[in-house]
Amino acid sequence: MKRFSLRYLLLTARLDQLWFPAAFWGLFVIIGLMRGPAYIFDSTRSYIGACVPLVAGIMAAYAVLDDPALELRFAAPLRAAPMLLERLAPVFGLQAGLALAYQAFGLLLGLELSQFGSWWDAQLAWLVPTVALLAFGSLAALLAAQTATGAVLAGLLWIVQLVARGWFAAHPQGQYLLIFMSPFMNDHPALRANQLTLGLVSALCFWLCWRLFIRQERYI
Amino acid sequence: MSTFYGLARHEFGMSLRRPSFWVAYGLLCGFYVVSILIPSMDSASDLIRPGRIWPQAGHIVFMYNIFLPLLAGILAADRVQRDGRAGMRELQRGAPLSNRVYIFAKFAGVLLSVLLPMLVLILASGLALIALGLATPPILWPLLLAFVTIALPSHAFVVSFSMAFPMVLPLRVYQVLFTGYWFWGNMLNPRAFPTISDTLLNTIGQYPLQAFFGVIVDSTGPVQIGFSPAQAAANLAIVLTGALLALLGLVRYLDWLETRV
Amino acid sequence: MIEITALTKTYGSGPRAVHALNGIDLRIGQGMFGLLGPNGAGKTTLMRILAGIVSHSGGSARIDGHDLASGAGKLAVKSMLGYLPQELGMYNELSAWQFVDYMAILKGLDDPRQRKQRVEQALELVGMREAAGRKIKGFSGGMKRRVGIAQALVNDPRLLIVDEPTAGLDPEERIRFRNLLVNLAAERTVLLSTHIVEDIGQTCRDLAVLSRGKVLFHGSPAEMIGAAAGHVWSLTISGLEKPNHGLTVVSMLHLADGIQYRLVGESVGEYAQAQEVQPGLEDAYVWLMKNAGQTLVE
Repeated sequence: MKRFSLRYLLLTARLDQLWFPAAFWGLFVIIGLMRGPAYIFDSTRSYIGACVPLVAGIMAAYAVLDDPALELRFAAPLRAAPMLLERLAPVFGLQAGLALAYQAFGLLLGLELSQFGSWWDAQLAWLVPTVALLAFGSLAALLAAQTATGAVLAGLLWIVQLVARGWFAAHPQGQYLLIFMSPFMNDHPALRANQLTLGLVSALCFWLCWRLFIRQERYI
Repeated sequence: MSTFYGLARHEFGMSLRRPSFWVAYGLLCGFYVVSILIPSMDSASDLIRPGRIWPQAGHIVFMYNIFLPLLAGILAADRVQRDGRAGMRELQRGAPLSNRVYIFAKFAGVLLSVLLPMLVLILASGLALIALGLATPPILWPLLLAFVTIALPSHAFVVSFSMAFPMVLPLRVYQVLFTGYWFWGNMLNPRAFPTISDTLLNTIGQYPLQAFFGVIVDSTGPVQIGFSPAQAAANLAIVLTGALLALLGLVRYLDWLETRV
Repeated sequence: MIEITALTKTYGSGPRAVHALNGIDLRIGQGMFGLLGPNGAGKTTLMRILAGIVSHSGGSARIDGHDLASGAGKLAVKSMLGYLPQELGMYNELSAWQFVDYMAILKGLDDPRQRKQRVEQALELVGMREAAGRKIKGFSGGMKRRVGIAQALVNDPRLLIVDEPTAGLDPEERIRFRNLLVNLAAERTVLLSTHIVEDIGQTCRDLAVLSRGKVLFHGSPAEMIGAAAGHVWSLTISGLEKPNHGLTVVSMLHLADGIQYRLVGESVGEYAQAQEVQPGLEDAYVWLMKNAGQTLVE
């Protein structure tokens, strides 16, 4: 039994979940055009490395619990993992699509992905922080059983790490948890260890989300 | 007046009763303690000289003011919108309560609630410095003055805008935009990216920090030399006027909404 | 079909723990079963446990042999469940048809043709066929409730749990709902929770009264009414002084020659002019609560 409908997923999505990320993408396209090909690497790195993760983190905080028919959904024979996937995958999918689309735009303006290291490093530059903030935002919301708390903590993590990234990069333990190392410090000696650690931490966050979401009574 | 006071007091209490409030402030304060306070106190050995008290006080408050207003803004974002969602607006409109009193009282309550952790942190830092023998009691007065000139205007600005804008934008959209604005508008180096952080629209407290406390901070991006007291006064006037306009705009918006129903 | 044994539910822990259910024992078979009780009695908690949304703290609850303590048991129950919660949240941007169709998909009705037929039948049953294409946000409270019951019925459930289904409905809608539920109960178990005593009296062959997490009464409406026999009086007083002596005022009516009170209590005491009357279900409920030591608003 599929118990899933893409049509209704789109029909029940809030409009701002769609237009807002697209508007941000459009803004950065304008910024990229205004600053010109000389700064396209900076513009691309800023968008995919900083902006996309922020939007993903805060949107993820709302994605699961901001559902008017949550109690009805809980009363349906649905397992927790597919329910979570149904709510979080569109957030990730949209951000991933926009990140790729911006790179395509950058390539038109002369962006060289080799400035990130390689094509794969360019994808890790947005993938690692986006998945980390998405996992953290949804976990914080489910832990607090409140979307607002998840959004607050996701935004806080974003700005603290962005502003204090130098401190994190130099800290013996902090460097493995710096979500902005992939986009902004891709020559750091601990880069791969950082990416692996964040991947594992993100997986742990998702697992905890699943364990929390099984306890449906916390959310009604 | 009693209505204003009662509303403000109630809003203050409601704001403080949120677990998310204390969790977020607790985590941020923990970060400050671990990343800044402990390392700086470990490395410091000399008593702060009298001539350095004011710059040190300004610097301490400014460092806290980098992130705390962001938290204040995000936490304040649903305070007015929430009344509509919870069905309270209907009851409030049935009471002899003008929108002006309602909004300004709510603003006062929320502002005081988000200033409280900031004030506690500043005073605790001052007392810790005194207890460790790194400063003398006179440091408390410049700390309080820095709180009034650096922290209070920033917080007033973010709380007013955070109360107003979510009435016309989805809450999560505002939270993303506000987070991005706080970084872009206050911390981004203008040499790296076009920004307003080096203009009189800077709301993080760079102007009063330089002009009144003689501190030039390069760790947050914009580096300017020579903001005068007059420029700082103009900056504060713009920030506070912006806050007032946001609140008046919100009052007008609520008045307009009522004419539509 | 529903077997509940020593069921408990506690929220929180320590001295501030809330014991929502304190050892419930019930057997509920096919037909209409009513749950009555004051606010905070545990009715909604019990319904959510039976709907598999909330986990119980102790005891056992089984529906058709499926144990609600296990994840598999909950899923099995949800597959045969139709649930209408007290606070009905819906997707206002969807039409009635789309909403019920979506709920059908979530309940596992994959076959498009079968699902279309089921959605049509459900909407027809609740009288929403003609408004099926309109968006929910334009509906009245009664229409939303009807869409709510339609989504509960779309998978042809063997167990229907409805929590305060007639709240906010006008008298005509309430009667319509009651009759609909009675028809549905002919072939399934319908568990109805309500504050409106009359709804229970008109529809249920069996009922339970909950208070502070315990079952105060389990039996038929007639048995409950019988327990109150001899304890209900009508009294007309010309002055403004309300009757006392441990009597509870169930209703008051201002007449030309005074105020007529309907009273429930152990005895009429000094009010010799009071006339004993046949109790109704509401009187029986008040009498039950008095005996249980519940404070009633006078």
